[in-house]
Amino acid sequence: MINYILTVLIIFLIAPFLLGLIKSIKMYLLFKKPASPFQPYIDLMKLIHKEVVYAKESSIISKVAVFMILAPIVVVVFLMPPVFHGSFYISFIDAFTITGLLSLSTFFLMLLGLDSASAFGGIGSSREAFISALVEPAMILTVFSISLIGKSIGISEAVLNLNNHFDINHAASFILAAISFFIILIAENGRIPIDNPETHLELTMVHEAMILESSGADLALIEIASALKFAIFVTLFVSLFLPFGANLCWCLAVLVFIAKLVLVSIAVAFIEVNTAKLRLFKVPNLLGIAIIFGFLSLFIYYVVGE
Amino acid sequence: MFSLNPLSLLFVFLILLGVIPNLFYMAGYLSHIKRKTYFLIHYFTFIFSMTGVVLSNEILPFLFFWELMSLSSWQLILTEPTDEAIKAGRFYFFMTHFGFVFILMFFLMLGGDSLFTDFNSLSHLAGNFKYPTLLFLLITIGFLSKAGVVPLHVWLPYAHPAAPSPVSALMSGVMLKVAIYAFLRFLFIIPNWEIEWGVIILALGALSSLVGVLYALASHDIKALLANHSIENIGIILIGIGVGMIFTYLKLPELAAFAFIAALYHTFNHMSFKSLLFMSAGSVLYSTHTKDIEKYGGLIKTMPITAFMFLIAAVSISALPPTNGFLSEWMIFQSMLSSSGIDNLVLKLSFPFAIFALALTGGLAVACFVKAFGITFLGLARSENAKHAKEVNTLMLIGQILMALVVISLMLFMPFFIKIFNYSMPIANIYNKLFKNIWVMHSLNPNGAVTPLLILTGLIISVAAIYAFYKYLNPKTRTYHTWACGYNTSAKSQYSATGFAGPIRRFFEWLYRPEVHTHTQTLAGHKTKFSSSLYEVHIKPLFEKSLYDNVVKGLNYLSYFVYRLSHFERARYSSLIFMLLIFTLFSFRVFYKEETIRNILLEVIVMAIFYKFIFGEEK
Repeated sequence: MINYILTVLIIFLIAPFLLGLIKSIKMYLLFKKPASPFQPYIDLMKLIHKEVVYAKESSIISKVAVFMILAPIVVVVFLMPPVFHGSFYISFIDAFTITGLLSLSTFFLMLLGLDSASAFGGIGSSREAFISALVEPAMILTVFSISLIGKSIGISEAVLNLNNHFDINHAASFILAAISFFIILIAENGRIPIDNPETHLELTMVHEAMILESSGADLALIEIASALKFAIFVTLFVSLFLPFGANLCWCLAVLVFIAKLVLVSIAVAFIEVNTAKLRLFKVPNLLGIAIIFGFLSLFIYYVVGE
Repeated sequence: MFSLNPLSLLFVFLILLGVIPNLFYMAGYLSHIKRKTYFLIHYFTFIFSMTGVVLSNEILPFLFFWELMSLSSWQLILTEPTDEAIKAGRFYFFMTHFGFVFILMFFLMLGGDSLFTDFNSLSHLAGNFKYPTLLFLLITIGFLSKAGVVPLHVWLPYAHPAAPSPVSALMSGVMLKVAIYAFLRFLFIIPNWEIEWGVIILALGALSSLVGVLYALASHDIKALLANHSIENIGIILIGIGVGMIFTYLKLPELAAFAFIAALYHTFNHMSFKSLLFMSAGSVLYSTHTKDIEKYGGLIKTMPITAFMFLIAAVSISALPPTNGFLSEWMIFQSMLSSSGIDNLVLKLSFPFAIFALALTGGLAVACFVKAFGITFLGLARSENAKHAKEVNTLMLIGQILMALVVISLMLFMPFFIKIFNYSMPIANIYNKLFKNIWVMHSLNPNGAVTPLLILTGLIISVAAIYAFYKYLNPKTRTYHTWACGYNTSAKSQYSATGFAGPIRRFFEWLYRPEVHTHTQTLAGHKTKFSSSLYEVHIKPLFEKSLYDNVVKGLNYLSYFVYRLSHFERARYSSLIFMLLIFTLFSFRVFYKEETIRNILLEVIVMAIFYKFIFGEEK
């Protein structure tokens, strides 16, 4: 049980660091003076103590939505697969529940965007609705495929199975699923090339547009939610698609886990530096690749056989 | 004449759950209706006939109640005889009888000697019937045209919104389920299913769910949006039934029972949240007097309870955990994931497509209900009507709250409902396998399980924790304008429903084929400044355009021809009858096997002479 709480705590604490790390690597690669990777913690502390400004046009939804955005994501953190062997985990949670809880959070985020009667919020909600509708099938196909390879619908169990015995026959579908999941990771967290988290230009923003009217502690909660969401996706990616290290002793396993998280964040930072943001109507092409790879991964799994 | 078998009782239960809140709502809505007696007579006949359909166990009572159900709902559509309603009513009348023909053919082919054959002996007759596929096709077209399955769904977005709101709720919430009941009932009468049947139903379901949600996204009439969503949900139910049929064929009774239970559970769920949505939308309509979603906005401030009820139903229909809509979709997903037990590779490869369709439907449903809730209840009022809207009367609120309780209890008491579904689907007893304890529902896959209560508790605890943290911080609050780049925030500057669905409409342009009308009045000398502008998008459903319009055109042409013949050219009309008589007489040779080339030639010549003789010259 202690192990379980430790895992959850690691994810909670490391989440802002990963975003800060990406930012500082990007700045370094762009020949800027890099900000500290711990900057997000400072930002959050600053936001928490600021006053909250509610729009006159907004309704009770603006006040409630903040909690409903964060709460499902917090629940998902508790459902994450174990970091090392022998730790407690919730065994039966499958991809649908996780996808559903994340959608619940997005649902209220989109309502928040529409609540303040601002055109920006509408822009953001509309685009987010479009992108997340296309992400959902990709996500479900991919996770379904990996849970077939892992021989369990429950994600945690699948992670342990993959750790203990990786069936080399399914390497092809495994790699396709990994590529697909990586695209989903980028799309769901609003990174370049789907969305640019650093801009406030109405042509490009998606996530930022929805939360434009939030401020102070509200904004801090939403920022925590988006950091946690990124951490959740990276955790899922490293546990499902980099299945090693869980059988080590617990301190080593945790170190390996953190190293993997950092590695994936660095990969995301490299992609962000090397690509430009896609036009909104080109985004389906990228997500289409994720969907097709999800399909292919399943098909190859079926053709190769159990 | 009537029977109380488990499936019938289950659907009586469904009708009760759907009707009782509706009665309260109807009582509140009644002041809005001009022809009260007319409405009430048909309303209660409608409810009575639906119960009759579900309970009847012989052919004639069944057909009688079925037809009574169709006719009374048709009359209810015509309660307020606007042009739109009359058109919708005509379309509904035609389509429901189109289906009825097939149902009638099913019974005539199978019925044996008497119209009072009961369904148990019908089952024996079906066992001896030579072409079971024909029977399957007849019930598919007959009952599913009533349920609104693509491509026989076109009437649904016209008919359901045209009726008064309590009736829309009944039609979408309960009547479609009665059609599903009839389909299931007669499906189980036919023994020895073929595998293709299951695949057909699965494909129809996947197609319906996608088409339904896509057209729902494009609708701007809130009730048409909900009606299109019914098509989607019927599609999801059919996916469950199709998977169940495939597993039944493959002799995997437990998996089949799981899929059928999932379908039944979704039937109940859809009844609950779709009724609630129609009631809330009806309340909005009641106080704003418009169905156009672009005229709403900001209603959560004046109609908080209605808004909250709509939100509950919207979260549930979008299949977000831990609501009942999520649970039944989860079951359907799980039943599709059990495909690893299948040996047939092609069949196995077809399952991912259904999973894809269902997942995409889920994603689009979220978008659709963010649009429906966000544009209707959030932001600023877009019209005077919406600005002066008031919360509806207590009776209507009671109706909505009762239905919301049904939605919530379908989630909370899931084990109980699954138990009665399993009891009425006696393919295999899997209740004990699903619920080792009542807190967790396992699926038949290894490690698949879901716990609505755990998720709900988790959500409540984390909301409470975050709220406590927030209270502890106790941030100062201030109220100020929404930032609009230095301009004033106005109703015009916020996003419209058309704009919200814009990206999706553009991506699915090949399906929608929208007609865009723009009109801009520019100020003299400026290209970018204008005094007024207009942007309108009209979407005519592709199926209606491609499948129905030409048929209607052809029928119109034909009916004009017949009309002209019988009204203006009596001589020609009677001569035509005469020709037909001769033709019939000559055709009798076929039965006596006396047709030879010579005879046929002779008769053709005789008929040609008569034709020339009677018709004469063209004038």
